[in-house]
Amino acid sequence: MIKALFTAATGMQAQEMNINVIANNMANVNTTGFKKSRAEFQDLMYQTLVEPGSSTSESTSTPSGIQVGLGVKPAATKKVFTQGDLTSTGNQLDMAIEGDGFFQVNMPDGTSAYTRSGAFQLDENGQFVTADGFVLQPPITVPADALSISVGQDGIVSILQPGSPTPTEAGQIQLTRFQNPGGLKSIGKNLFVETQSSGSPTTGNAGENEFGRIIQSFLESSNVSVVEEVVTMIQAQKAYEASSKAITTADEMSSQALSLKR
Amino acid sequence: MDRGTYAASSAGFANLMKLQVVSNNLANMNTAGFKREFIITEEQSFDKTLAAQEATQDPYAKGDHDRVNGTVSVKSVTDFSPGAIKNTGSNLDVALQNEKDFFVVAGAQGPLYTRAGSFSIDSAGNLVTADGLPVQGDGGAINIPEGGAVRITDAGEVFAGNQALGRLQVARFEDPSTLTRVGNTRFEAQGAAPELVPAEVVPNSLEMANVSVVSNIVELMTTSRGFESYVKVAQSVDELNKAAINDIGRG
Repeated sequence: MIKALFTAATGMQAQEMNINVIANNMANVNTTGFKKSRAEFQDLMYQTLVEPGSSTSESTSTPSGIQVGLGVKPAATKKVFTQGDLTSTGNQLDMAIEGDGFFQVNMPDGTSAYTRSGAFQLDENGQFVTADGFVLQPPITVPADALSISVGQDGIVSILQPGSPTPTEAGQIQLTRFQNPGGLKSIGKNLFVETQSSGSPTTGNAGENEFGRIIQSFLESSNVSVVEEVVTMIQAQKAYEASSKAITTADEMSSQALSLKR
Repeated sequence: MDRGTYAASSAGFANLMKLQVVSNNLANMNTAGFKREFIITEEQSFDKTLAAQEATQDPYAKGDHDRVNGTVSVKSVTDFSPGAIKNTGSNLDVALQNEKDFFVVAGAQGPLYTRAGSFSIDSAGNLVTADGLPVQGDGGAINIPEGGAVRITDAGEVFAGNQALGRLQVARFEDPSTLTRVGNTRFEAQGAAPELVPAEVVPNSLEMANVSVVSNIVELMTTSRGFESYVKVAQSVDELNKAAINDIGRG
């Protein structure tokens, strides 16, 4: 009897988590380089009261037993690394990646983090940094008197300086890719860090071996589709409501059972 | 005790089982690859009980034939009808075309079968289920080398770039009702190994649960009313007993 209460409660908890994931996707719909997540569920476990195929007589057996499920559990929040739309910004320090790669940045504690958000700025040393001031790796220094900066699809940064008709090369941006980007861990600030399940990072030149091309003056929008999120939200809400009805029914039935004894 | 009490309480038990099963279906409304379960009840008739008990040489069978007369027994059955196919755009999501087909995954005690085609890649590069069990291809686990975008074709072939890595193994159960549920949206086969068939899948999509809210809510209502009737019957029997004890012989 009371089992159904807990079963329905797992349903409500699961949908609560579903809504949390959707809310975060929706909140980041305009976040550059954001990758949406999706909550995935599995049924919990089954109580087998009668095994299918147990014998009812010497010559007959039950074609189906009694298996009662005990609810649902979240299995994973899967990150979906589909390409986001590229938006032109006109800013020469903005870069988008078309392909699988990530920009590698150095965190204040010396470790590496990875991002798809290419909204870079220059710091006081002329180095490319993220909005939080984390330095792009390998560091590329732009001289203070640079007139213009151009970044090729292969990541080569060329700088035009006064008095020189030809641009000079300041360095080449490298990209990193992972065997299983879905296994990366989000740490906020548009950054990901490697985990055991993401596999170790492979670094190489942009434009080679699936690392992706760099597109200057463009930014990658989030890959969140508002329509899709709203549909998922409706589904989650209906499922939540349905499980709450199961709880109400279980509650009514237990009070009826209690009314047996007067 | 009166027979009526037993008949009513068996119906009450059947309704409790129904409630449990419906709650589980509703809790799994958004679980990819979930198949709904339902309870069928059948009247345990006098003749049937007699036949079963005589067949098993139950010494109590004779002379006490009617002790389970009119009670209800329950069975749980899985509905393997297909769920809606939702396009997710994720390259490692696949849905099966045929409702009798299942993906084969390597469980700790032998193969398990699932309809949930939401796969990932683990740290060793193997294609795995959402909770990390290796998905079987035609030559064992499918290992995905570094580099190259991974895609799965309509025929279930896995490619990294232009390199073919193997084809998803798909088992067909002509009678899926022989499968037992083991949780985690997986099933276990009873008896003979199933036939392996060439995979036919819908890439970048997932099969959602085949749970209908409407029918399950209706089921909840009938369960609740059914249980209420059982309570009324039990109370009436109790009233009769009370009358018998207190009123008969009072003159």
